[in-house]
Amino acid sequence: MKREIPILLTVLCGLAITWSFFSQSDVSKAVNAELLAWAVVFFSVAFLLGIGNLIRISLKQISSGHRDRPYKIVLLVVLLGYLGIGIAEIHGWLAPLATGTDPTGQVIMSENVRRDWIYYRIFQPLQATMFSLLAFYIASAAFRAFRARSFEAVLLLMAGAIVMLGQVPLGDTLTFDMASRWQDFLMKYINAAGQRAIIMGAAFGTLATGLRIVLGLERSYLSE
Amino acid sequence: MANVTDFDRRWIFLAMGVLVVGLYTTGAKSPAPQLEYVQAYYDVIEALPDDSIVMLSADFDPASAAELLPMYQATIHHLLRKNIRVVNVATWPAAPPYTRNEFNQITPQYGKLYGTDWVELGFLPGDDVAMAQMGASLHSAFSTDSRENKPLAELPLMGELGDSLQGIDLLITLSAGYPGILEWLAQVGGRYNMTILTGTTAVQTSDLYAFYPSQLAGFIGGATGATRYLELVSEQTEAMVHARDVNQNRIMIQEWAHMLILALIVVGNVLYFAGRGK
Amino acid sequence: MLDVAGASEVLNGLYEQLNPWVDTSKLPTLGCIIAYAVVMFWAQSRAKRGVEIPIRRIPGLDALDEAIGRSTEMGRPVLYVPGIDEIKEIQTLYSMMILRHVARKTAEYGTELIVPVKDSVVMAFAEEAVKQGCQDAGQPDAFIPDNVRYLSNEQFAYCAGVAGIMNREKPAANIMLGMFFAESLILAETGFASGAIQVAGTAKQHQLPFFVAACDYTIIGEEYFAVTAYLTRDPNLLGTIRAADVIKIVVIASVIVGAALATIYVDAGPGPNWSTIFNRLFG
Repeated sequence: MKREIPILLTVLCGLAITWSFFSQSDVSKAVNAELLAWAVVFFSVAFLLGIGNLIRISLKQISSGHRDRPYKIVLLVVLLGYLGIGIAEIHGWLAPLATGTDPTGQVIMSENVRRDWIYYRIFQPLQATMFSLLAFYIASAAFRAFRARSFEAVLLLMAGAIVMLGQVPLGDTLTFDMASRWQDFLMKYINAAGQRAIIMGAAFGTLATGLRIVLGLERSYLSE
Repeated sequence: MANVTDFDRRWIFLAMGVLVVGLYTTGAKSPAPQLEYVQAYYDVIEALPDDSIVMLSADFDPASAAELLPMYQATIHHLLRKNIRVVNVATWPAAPPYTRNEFNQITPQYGKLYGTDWVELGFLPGDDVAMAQMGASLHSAFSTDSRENKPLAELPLMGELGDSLQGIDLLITLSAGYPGILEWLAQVGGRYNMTILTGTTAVQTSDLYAFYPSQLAGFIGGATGATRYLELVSEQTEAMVHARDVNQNRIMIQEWAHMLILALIVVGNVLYFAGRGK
Repeated sequence: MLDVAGASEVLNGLYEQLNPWVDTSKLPTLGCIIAYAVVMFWAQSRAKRGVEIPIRRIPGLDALDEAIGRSTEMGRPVLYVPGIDEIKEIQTLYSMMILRHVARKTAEYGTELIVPVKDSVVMAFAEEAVKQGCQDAGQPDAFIPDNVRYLSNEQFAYCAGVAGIMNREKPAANIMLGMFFAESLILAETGFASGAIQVAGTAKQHQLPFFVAACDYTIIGEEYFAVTAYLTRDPNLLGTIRAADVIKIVVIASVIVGAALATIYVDAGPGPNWSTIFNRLFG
């Protein structure tokens, strides 16, 4: 029964949601709304599951003296610290702090200032920095790997050059206003056609697996 | 050089870094090109009558804020200038600080009242399931708003909107990945025949051409699109002039970064073929 | 033979009968799903009966074996990155199937396999896949739980963690199969700098150019789904591939017919014509 009950639940819920997509009846809409509400609750619980798992694995590695132990300690301190500060501020357990003055000269007190400080002064710059690495890496990848080795590679390079030139005003200046027009043509017709084909292809794969899951035939998500 | 791959790529990193920092420091600007899809985005909002209701979804995080936050700010200014009422949601957990901050700063400039002119519903977990739930029933998706913790029925805007998204005149999503515009199109756009606009990072823009204009009424792609939109909005909104200037500087930086990459491709190919010739 | 007006009336009548129960604007979608399901089950039953469903040799597959062999010769580990999405993403599910195959190969050769994951649920699946792979190779002791590492739920923190593993542990082969986003280029470039042979595959079209540029072998788009069918020879997966091919031929034919009808009737006035009927059936 350990496998049969989850499969039965999957089939029933999958068919109910699918039915609600194709039906206009009030019953189907009510069933759909209820199942979606449950699903959102599960997603929220999954956050807790993720946190719990992260803490469990980190504690295990700290206690066993794993080589990543210092990083796991930092991770736990930051995770629990930020979580604690956030919960404390939401419930007003920490005193508000001054964040400046308004035009009338009155001091503005905010309760979220510690949370926001961590978010804007630490999290945001770190994420932005990691994302910014892409600019450097694409330059080095372009130098190293974009070779006109074959006819297809030449086409690829030409398309890339046209799109890069068409995106910026300087490109039009250098190509007598042709770059943006060629780019538009490429993106609107050739790219759009290719994207539609790729999206359809990926959708067929997703549809097939989805069908098998909804009909209870796909069981790879259950442990053996 | 024996082999192109022997070339220390840190010189390339240094060249890119010097270029970007140098141009940023000079503050040099370049206007954005005219873009049909950005104009369509602008025109759709312009055509909305007063008191329309728009749902604005923030689907991004700090990594993509450089591209999407200017679009987000400009969209809020555009909507509020037009006296359009906004329901503000987020499907990424890192988005709410941005949404809260921007609405806190911008709404007083237009004298907008919370609850009547705009509502902040906050983050809903569940990715595309959350979007489906919003489409099916807003009141079961959000029992209270995220700003004042009031039941939705107590907020005049939500009372007028009702329970489903079908009362929404337009859905706008600023989308950095998953969940984002593709999921909104699948879960809400196709199901409820909604008019949808989107702003995305540049890498996603190639996807959007397949959906324009039938499923997507307009879109803004990347920093170039954002700058063009800022240029359009700042014609009527003084507060966006500084943001427009900053983004025009980014266009200048982008121009020369593109030229550097093209030059690197050419040089790399020349060295490769020269090496092969030996 | 029905004339246009007759065909249109038949359709109107049918839609009126169905309307309270079924959203008739979605009938074409329902029809396509049912047709696809029928073709898929037909193909799967043929595969189960032993009828050969040929899948062409995918270059990236040879590269998988080559990468694992290289790692064994150099005495360095294989790094397998299953993407950054959750288990509900189809590509992640398929990645787990391929991971089992890779784990079997590495266990046979006695090579270490490291699997960093971004999601705690995926970690459970990855552990199971590696364990099963080791058992398939007859080497259950080859499974090292500490080598399936849950790094972080945050995209770029995970990316930094994987980059750190590449730089510190210097795997000889990086296999990146699954759903990737902006971190793909960072991972691929870091892997290249560490000197590893790299095999990447994803159906996420935005990231394919970065993998093509930075990796030695790339499994592109639908080849990724076919790789799983090829490796496992599972009749269900083979049937899916065959069904997708059949439906694609039908879609191509529909596009050609639809475009032709739309062209012929482009100046047609109001009222039903074969183009509008085609749209009602397939649009």
